[in-house]
Amino acid sequence: MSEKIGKVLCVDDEPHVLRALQWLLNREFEVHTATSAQEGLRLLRGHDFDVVVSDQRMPEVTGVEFLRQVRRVAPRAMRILLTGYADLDAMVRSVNESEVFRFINKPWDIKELPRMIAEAAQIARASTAPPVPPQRQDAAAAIALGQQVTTVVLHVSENILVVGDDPEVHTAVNQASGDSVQVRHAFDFDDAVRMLNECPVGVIVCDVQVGKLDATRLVRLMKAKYPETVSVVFSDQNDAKIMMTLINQGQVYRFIPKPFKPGFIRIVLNAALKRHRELLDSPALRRRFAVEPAAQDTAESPQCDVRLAVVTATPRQPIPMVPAADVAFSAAGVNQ
Amino acid sequence: MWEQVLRKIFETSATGARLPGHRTRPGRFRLVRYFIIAGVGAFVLAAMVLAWQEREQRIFFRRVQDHQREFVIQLQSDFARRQDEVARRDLLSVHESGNVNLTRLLANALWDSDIAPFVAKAQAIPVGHCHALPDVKDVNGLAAPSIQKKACFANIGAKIRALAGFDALHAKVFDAMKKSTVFKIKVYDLRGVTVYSSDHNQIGDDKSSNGGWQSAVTGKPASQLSHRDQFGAFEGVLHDRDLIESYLPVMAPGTDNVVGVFEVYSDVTPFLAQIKGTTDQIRASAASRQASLEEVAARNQQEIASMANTGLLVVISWLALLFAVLFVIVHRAERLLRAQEEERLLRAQEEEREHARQQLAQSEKMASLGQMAAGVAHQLNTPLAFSHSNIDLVLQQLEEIERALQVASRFADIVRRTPGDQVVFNLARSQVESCNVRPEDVGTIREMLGDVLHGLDQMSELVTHLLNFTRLDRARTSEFDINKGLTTVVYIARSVIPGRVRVVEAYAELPLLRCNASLLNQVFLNLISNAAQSIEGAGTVTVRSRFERGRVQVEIADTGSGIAPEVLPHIFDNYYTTKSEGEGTGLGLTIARNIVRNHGGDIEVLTRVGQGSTFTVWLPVAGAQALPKAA
Repeated sequence: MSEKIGKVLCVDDEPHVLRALQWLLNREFEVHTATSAQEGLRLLRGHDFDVVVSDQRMPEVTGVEFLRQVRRVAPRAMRILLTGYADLDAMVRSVNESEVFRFINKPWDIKELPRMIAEAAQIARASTAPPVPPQRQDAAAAIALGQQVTTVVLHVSENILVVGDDPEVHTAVNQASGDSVQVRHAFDFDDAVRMLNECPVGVIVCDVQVGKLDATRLVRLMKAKYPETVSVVFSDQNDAKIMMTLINQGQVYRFIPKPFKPGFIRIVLNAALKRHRELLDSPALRRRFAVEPAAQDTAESPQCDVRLAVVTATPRQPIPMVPAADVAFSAAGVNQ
Repeated sequence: MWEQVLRKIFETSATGARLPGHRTRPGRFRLVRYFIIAGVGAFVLAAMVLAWQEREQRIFFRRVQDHQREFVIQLQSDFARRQDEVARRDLLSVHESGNVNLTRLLANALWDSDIAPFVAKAQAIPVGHCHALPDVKDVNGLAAPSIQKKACFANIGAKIRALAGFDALHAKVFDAMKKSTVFKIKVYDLRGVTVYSSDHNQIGDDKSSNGGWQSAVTGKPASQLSHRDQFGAFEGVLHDRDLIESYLPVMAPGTDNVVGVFEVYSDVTPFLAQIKGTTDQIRASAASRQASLEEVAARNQQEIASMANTGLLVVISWLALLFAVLFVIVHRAERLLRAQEEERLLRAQEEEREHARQQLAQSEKMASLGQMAAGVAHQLNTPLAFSHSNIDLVLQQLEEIERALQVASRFADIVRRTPGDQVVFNLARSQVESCNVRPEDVGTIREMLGDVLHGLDQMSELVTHLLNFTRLDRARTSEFDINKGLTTVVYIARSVIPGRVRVVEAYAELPLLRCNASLLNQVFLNLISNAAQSIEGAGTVTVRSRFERGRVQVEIADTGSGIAPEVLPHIFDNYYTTKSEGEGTGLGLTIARNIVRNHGGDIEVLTRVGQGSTFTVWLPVAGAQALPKAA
């Protein structure tokens, strides 16, 4: 047997699933299993895991909640959520609260899952632990507790790009970001791509649906080219598939569910800019948020992808294409 | 009949004015109001017309009466006048003939002896020059003798008076007329000149133009009645007298030849006074009769007026009575119609509510179905996931086993083909080394496939439960073991309710119950999921069944929050829900109770706030003959 390339913890209340995962993974990884979140947390305290895979639906505690605890107990471990069916709420929370690396639907692909876990383990082993999140200090909880959140001031000088055709989104971001941050507005993907090429963007705030297109392509592209850029997406109780793509291929930093609260946007933007700074400072950390290569059906060159996006968005106009050199980049660059 | 007519009128207008909406009053036909306006208007108009007619009649009657009265007055005054006239004419003619006789007597006595000679003498005096003098027009435009003419004739009079025998004549005439009613006598010759007059001043006067004289000259006497305030008579001046003035022809005695004209004035004052008295009497009686007539007329008019007033009053009161009766009818009709309309509206609202309720019930069914489907999908997904993964792995490993088997079978082939006990192999080392399969791998594969089989069992169990739950393969009602249903429902419910809630099952042996199993399963699922939802955090839902006093009892107890006392009376109400919008329609328990009641049973609740609730469904086993077809 070759050397194990990672230490994985699998948590599920169904032992057959754990057995199947063990059979699938134990050639490459050192696999530990737990049939409850409590047991999982106990194991986490005794071992240093690279990857934690959890089922969403468990008695006592949901997978999201468990992974949120994992994020505090073992911040270095990469988190992957397994779920039986597309639960939109779980998706939003898995991103906003647990900052999962991947979101995987059952049944899993036996080639894909080990590859994904291997990638996660590699990143985990290469990177230092990201800062431990403060105790239950996430924005949603703050809002729920009715804390004063409007006093948060944005100090970072990076700029924010807002993409979307909903004027409310633009207004809300403008109001939330204050004067110290430059906010630029794009009303379609054409504009957005041009602005991204003009100057680097710290945080991109995008509506999940712009015109007839969803945000996946833009976010994916942007993340692939500028890994230090943080993306925030307004989710609209939308298609679970789009959201999953945004998580796995776009490494969305936060979802802002609509209808949104201004205070929540302010907190999210503040956190996003902070994360952007962290990513700029640490290339290893940047890799923790690497994106999955696009699936086969959308695997055209990114240039094509953008062209396609622009064409679909403004079908009648001649395309004001950005220079090919600006947009074209190799897939290999993504993981370097 | 009225009512029918009215209803008809209203109904047509009502169907025309049917409008949507709940409490909005359409542009309703206000029957009573319009009836009052139209009715009062019509009745006032009719009363006015009647009053006007009455007044016209009264005026006409008065006019007729006035005409009559006037006619009577006319008649009476006419009669009085004519009586007066006749009396005067008779008086005149009597006096005239008296005068004629008097004249004859006088003529017979005095003419030949005294008068004729005197007349002859006087006639001898020429008067032609005086006649020749022109007349003048007096103030009335009539021809009147001028002053010169009068003076001329006065001169002639003086001449006549101066004639011999005048005084003797006068004395004789005076003697003859003394103490008679004759006041004055004049004698004219045939030229019209006054030859003698008892009033001496008038001798010489010309009377040729006088009508009386002219008539008498032709032989016809003429008389006329006149009133004199002052009159010179034989025996002095008299005052205020009625006189008859007669012009009488004087015939020569024994002949019809007119030889002169006498003018005799006789006093009729007493006669005339008598006539006047009679006339006045007649007039007075007429006047008194007229007064009484007028009185009668006034009385009649009064009577007619009061009669007319009474009539008018009667008609108006009849109209008022009619109006009142119609008003009552219309009022009742409107009330009836309003009630009908209200009823119709209520019915429409009720229908609308019922429709909405059905839709909500349907959507609730769909929602719980969706929830169930999601739960079931998840439950199905888990065995599917590990089975899928295991089979994929087995397939992968089968490739390696295949390779190992190829090597092994090559060995076996070579051994079979080679005689003798010793076989020499000439194999590439790498080929053999590529066989990476160990016998325990087959054990793993067996385990994997065993898990797959287990997964398949799980899935088939789920499918069986699903089928049992819906009972789609059964008749609507059948003999059913409630425990079996509960097992299925709990199995399904476990896929919906969160893992922190434990479900405990405790079933006693039950007799078969003839029921609609699908509907009852729905009820139990609803109660169990409600129970689970009432639990925040960890807790237990206990599902118990027992058979007691001829009825099946199913108890679903939870360790949840319980039901607040103010909520408890409403839990079975339509639309009553404590869940937020989009989570519940408030129909679940209503439908559940309807289903149970349709089976002849009921649902009872026992709750303690903070400790949990127990819902008990009891179903009669014997009394379950009348069974529902559907919910």
